[in-house]
Amino acid sequence: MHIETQAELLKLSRLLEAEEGSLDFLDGQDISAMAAFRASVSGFFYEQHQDSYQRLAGISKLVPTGASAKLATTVLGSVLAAGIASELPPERAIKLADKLPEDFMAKLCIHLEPKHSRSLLAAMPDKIVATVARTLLAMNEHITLARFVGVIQPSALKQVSASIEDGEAMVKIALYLEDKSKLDALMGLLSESQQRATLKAATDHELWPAVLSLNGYLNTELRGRMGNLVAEQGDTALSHIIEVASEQRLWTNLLQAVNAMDSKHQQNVVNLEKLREPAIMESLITTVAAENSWDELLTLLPLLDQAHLAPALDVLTERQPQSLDAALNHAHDSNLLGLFGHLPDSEVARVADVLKSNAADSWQAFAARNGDAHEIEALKAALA
Amino acid sequence: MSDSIQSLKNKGLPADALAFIESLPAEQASKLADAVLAAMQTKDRRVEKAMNNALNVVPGPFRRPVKKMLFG
Repeated sequence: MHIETQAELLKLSRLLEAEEGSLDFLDGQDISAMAAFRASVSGFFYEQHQDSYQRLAGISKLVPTGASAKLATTVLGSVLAAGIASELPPERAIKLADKLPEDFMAKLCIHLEPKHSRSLLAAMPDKIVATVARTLLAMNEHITLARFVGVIQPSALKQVSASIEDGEAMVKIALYLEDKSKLDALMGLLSESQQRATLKAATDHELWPAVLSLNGYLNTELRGRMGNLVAEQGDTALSHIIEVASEQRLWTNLLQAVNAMDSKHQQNVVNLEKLREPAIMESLITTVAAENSWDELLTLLPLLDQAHLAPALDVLTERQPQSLDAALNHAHDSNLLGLFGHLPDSEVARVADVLKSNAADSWQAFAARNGDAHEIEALKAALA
Repeated sequence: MSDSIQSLKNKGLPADALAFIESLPAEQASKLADAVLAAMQTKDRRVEKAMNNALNVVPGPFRRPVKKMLFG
């Protein structure tokens, strides 16, 4: 199961208080549709009792905050308190939060309904947010923390992120983020040692599928920084990452990471022995063709040594000869020229044969657009 | 349509959530609707229990007006 589907199903099973894994039959459904379903059901559950929450909030406003806090912890419990807090004016809820014990506040936060508690969380002072976040972290409440990241003030996020030393927690919080566009802000706040901790956790806790998947959401600068740290993990770890990319069809994410690395790292990664395995190379080309990520692949192919280029050409010319037609139709011409210019003389004939039999029209169009390119002189001669 | 789906419809589950359930194959739709309905009932019971707990700490003479405030 794709790691992001796993994360979404975990969030849904929590909402429905169902056992983890009991909703696995939804695997294959569109992730954004499942997330929208979850948000809709979550709001619906809340609205079933909103009237009661509002009434209790009304009563709460009539008594001193100290008494309200005592009532919340001794009588109401965290579930009801979460509903009431969402119906209180933020300034009143903040005064109340200041008087609640940390563990109660953390449990209350677990039960906050995302849509109805946004303004409350956004208004919460940094000190309270940081304290609650520490407690949630100790409780391994990564899903709740991820919800925090999406709505708290940047200054509070800075405090929270500075306190997270656990790489596993960091990866999981990032994985559970509802709005992945916040990932840049979160990762950008991490120190290099924290970033290294996330990568170590990926190895120690089998979290590479999550890290690779999340990499696709990072901006180019962060992707490059993380990519370089990944490259420093050594050949064994890199070979394992390649296996994960193959199993989870996360090749495009991995290619993006490699493209963002420094060139010395790129050269090493693309020439790992693991990539010469026929099944790995076939999986790579299949995913690239399915996701139309030709440009990400083609920019790296010229870096392959001959021992690695041959298996790639085996797939492109023998096992998936239709792929070259797809590449000619979808990739940028300069990247295609890079590949064709890198072909050794011994490979020109078999590539020309495939172009003739499987991609004649697209090749002609490509050759016409690039008539004076020296990179395709040998192919043009072979096809004449 | 399964009983659970009909129940959720009657209870006012939003149309977009219902549409998602109904887009699934019948058996999966029924299982998901069962899960949503069960969760709803659990949450209902939890809130009701907490409300009653709250009511029980109110001194006797004030209980009736507070109950009216809480439950309408």
